[in-house]
Amino acid sequence: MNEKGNRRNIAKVAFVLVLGAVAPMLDTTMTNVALNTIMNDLNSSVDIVQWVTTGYVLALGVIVLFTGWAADRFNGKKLYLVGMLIFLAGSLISGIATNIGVLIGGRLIQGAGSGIVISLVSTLIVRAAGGKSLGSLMAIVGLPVVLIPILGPTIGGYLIDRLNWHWIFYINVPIVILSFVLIGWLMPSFPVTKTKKNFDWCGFFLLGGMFSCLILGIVKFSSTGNLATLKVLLPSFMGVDLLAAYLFYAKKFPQRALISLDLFKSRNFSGASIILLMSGITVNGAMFLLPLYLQNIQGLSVVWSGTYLMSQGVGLLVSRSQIGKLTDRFGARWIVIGSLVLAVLSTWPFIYFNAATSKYLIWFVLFFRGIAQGGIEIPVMADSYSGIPSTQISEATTATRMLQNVGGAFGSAILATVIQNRLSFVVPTVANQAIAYQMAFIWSVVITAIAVVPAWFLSYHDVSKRFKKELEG
Amino acid sequence: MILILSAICLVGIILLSIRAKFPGRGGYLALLTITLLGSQSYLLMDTQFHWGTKLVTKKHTVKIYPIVSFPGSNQVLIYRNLGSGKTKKQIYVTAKGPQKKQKSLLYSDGIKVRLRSYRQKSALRITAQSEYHYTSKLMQVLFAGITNNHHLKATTVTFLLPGNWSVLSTSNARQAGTALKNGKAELKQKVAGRVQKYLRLHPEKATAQPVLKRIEEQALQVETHRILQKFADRQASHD
Repeated sequence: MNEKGNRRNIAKVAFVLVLGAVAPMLDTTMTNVALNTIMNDLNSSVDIVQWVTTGYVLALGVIVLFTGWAADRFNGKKLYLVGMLIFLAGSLISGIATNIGVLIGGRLIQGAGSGIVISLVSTLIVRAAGGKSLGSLMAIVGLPVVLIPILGPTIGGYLIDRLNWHWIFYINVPIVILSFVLIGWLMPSFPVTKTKKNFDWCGFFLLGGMFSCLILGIVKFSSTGNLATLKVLLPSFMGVDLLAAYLFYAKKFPQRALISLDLFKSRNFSGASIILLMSGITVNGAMFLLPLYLQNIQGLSVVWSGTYLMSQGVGLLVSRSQIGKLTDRFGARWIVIGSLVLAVLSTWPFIYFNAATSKYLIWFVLFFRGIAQGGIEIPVMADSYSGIPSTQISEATTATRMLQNVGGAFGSAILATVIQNRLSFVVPTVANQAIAYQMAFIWSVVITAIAVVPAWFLSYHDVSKRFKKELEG
Repeated sequence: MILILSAICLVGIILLSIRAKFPGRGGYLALLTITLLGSQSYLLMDTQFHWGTKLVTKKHTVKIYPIVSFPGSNQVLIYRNLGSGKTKKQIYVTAKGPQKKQKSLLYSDGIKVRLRSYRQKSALRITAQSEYHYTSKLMQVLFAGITNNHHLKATTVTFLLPGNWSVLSTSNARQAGTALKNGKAELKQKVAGRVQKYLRLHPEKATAQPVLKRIEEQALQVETHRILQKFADRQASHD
């Protein structure tokens, strides 16, 4: 009964934490569909308007580094509420923006708030659960992670269609206020875990610089489609050099390091990290491709394409609790490998789909993609914390979040470049675009299949041995 | 080659960074770091200087035919706008032959399109592609992956259009068509006016039917062209 009550409390904490993260996560995907409208409305150019999303990702990525340390140093609940207030302020500034400079400024503030809120969700929930039943918990935490990229474009498209782009920011205000009240009321305090550790400024500059440079290089690569330019190579080289410098520094000063290299001694953490880095294509790649495919090839509106993608959300909803339970019982390895196979099988048909493909067939395939998506995301997220000591949970969150951000940007950039290269100097007719998307789906399928290799390093619970032990006991 | 070298240096630095007990670690690390930074700088400079290459521009010229014609042998280079604002691109549509059966499309994304008028009868499309061609095999191997042989620098498409051609977007062509239809009577009057003016200057030609026919044709061409120009693109080029 006591354990049952405890589990209920943890589920309650998970629920309010996830509720608080809904607006920041929703905002990331909603803004993408508004970029064209914003660009025309604020009379801006592609180069400048891309900072509306790039600035947000950069601010988020850099602040994640700080949050990892702050989560150990300050009360988790208060930090979460501060993050929400920063996000609210950023949303209001972005909403009232009448020029591109103010909007980018607002987005930077929003990104900083999101960085605190999103990274604290995983840290606090794992801490509240004491590292147990992570699969079931990640099924709750992973729900918005997978569902929101599906819902975001639909909601964003609807708001722009019915109102105007300012509302994709104003919509956050009531959601944040409601979440703020619920969190203040229902969430327990999370005490300080490491009081004496000073902030690692050197690590912060090295990792923050690495993250910013890599993202910048990736963004420039996706917009030019050409690797051999100064704009792409300079930040990319600086990024990898700073990574090498950080590794040297973290080995030399392990006590100070923002992210300890010891984390990577855990096989499942390393495996999960590589999969998270690849998730930009395995999970989010198709999420980037599918709305564009449905709009450009099937001729659907933004709102309708989002509605199509909901069948993917249904697949996830149906399977998520079972995926969580199975992960807790068998470990992540076989669940992820099985889901990767399902992801390949359910992405494959898109290589052959065309404008005449039945919508029912698309829904059917997307339903299984939803199951596969949950089967990859939930166990991998759970496995990144499996066996990690409580003092290193915030560091693990910082590392995984950073890898996810870089991987996400990299995945979208690769797929965008595949499409761009296929369409350069070619009139973007439906037939030509269909070929370009088919090529991008082939890339997505191949990289998803390769992810089986790091998935082998994920945790595996030998149930037969445990059963034998129980019998002997 | 340099790209591979820098990748090897980077991997070496990472491995040495995390293996604290490797003998002579400091020396190797310093050597690899210097090599890495040197090779990266060299690669970055190559993106600007393209060492060991010469710029070769290949030109390809084709005769183009209009898909839309207006009275008085007025031809139109038609284009369709895609996107809006600063992301606006154009698709230029021409015919491959005088029968206008086969269409040729040119999308302006990633290329520079120039519209030039010239004093010839046929319209031409000149595609100029500037490429880097290696003159040194060594440099080609060293900078593989950054500047490859035949690396494309830029593509410029120039439409050379005779005086009777106008450049109109699809919507503008439609408006011009409507304007010509509505102003038929006025156009007829203006053409007749021009013929009368010619006859006043050359009364001896009053019975020369072929000459009058030619003058009428010329007048129709000039007047129609004037109307089309009201709707024509005022920009000289689309980037």
